[in-house]
Amino acid sequence: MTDATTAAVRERVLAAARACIAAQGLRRTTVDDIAAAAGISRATLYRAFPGGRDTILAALLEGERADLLASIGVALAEAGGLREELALGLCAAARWLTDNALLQRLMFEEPATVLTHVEFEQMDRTLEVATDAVGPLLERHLEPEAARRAGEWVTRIVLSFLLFPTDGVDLCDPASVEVLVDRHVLPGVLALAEDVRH
Amino acid sequence: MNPTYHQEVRRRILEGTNRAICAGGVRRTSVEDVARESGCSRATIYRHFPGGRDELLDALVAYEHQRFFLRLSLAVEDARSLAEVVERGLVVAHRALAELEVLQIVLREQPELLEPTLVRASRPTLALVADFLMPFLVTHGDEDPECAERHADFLAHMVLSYIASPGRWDLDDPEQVRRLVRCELLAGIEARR
Repeated sequence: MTDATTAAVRERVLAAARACIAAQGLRRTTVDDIAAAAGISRATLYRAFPGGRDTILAALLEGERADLLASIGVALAEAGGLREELALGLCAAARWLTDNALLQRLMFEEPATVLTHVEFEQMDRTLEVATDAVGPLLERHLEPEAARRAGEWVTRIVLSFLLFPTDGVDLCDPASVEVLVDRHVLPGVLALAEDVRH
Repeated sequence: MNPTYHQEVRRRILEGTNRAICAGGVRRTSVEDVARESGCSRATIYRHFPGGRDELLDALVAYEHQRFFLRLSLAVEDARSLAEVVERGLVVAHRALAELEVLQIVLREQPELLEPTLVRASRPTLALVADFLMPFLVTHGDEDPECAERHADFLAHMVLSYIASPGRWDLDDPEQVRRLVRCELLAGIEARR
């Protein structure tokens, strides 16, 4: 297989995997289901993803992460100061996560599976990736080390408020996010930056 | 049946369920195994848990939950500041979850067993942590109950985040926990002072 064909097969497999999981859940999605949905043989699938199901899921998550970070980047382009950057970034991240059919399906219908895989094993990795990506975005207003720590801290806020919703706090609503930013997020980020300086 | 005796039998059966799961895993644990481990007859078990195995598993989750919060309360009751409450609470919670062998077994073997509890309880879990923190916020700085409630909610979100994934922090190291709590965990609400 040429590189171009492999890339095309990988694309098809990932699209099929996303559709299967959104339709029937992660637990019940097998490699056979994915191959059938992609219209390819098991052998072709395994050539593109030698690790099978786990590598397909990992690649799927990696792609989703990149897409999420791109949409945060777009939102931040319009931001003026740090306060606005935090508010727009939080809101963009929350909206992307909420609109994502795949994640919603996983989070609300198979939370235990997600909690064991995402929370306890993948979550640290998710935090790391998010920190690496979000940190530099905050460097316009913060020192690099402060930006890195603030990036992780803010990521925790987004994930925690989405996993454990609170009445009256809607991260997809810009007005609600502004209140949260003014009360907690901005003072917290400034305190972190202060801590880094000492 | 007198209520204390009733509680005591339930406790014995649930401890037996715990031991049976730790010995043989969740899937292979039957009411017979629980009977053997707890020294109660099958009839006694069904009298206390008419739903049998499924009810036993649900009740065990609730029982461990209760014990967890009791342990937490004892650990922080004489703390002198909010930071100390959160510090001690974090260390104890982390240790309790790591030591709870039955939880590790269920997560590894059959995480979907926790699903009904998680789906029903993902909000209550947050509310429980917030309720737990609330009196300490009132004692240590928040006289306005509305403020205390809001701060408890925010703090509960942060606590759950660090317990679920400590990231680069080692929650077994008291010095690191001290720094984490003072520099990061309380960062979003310390400005109130």
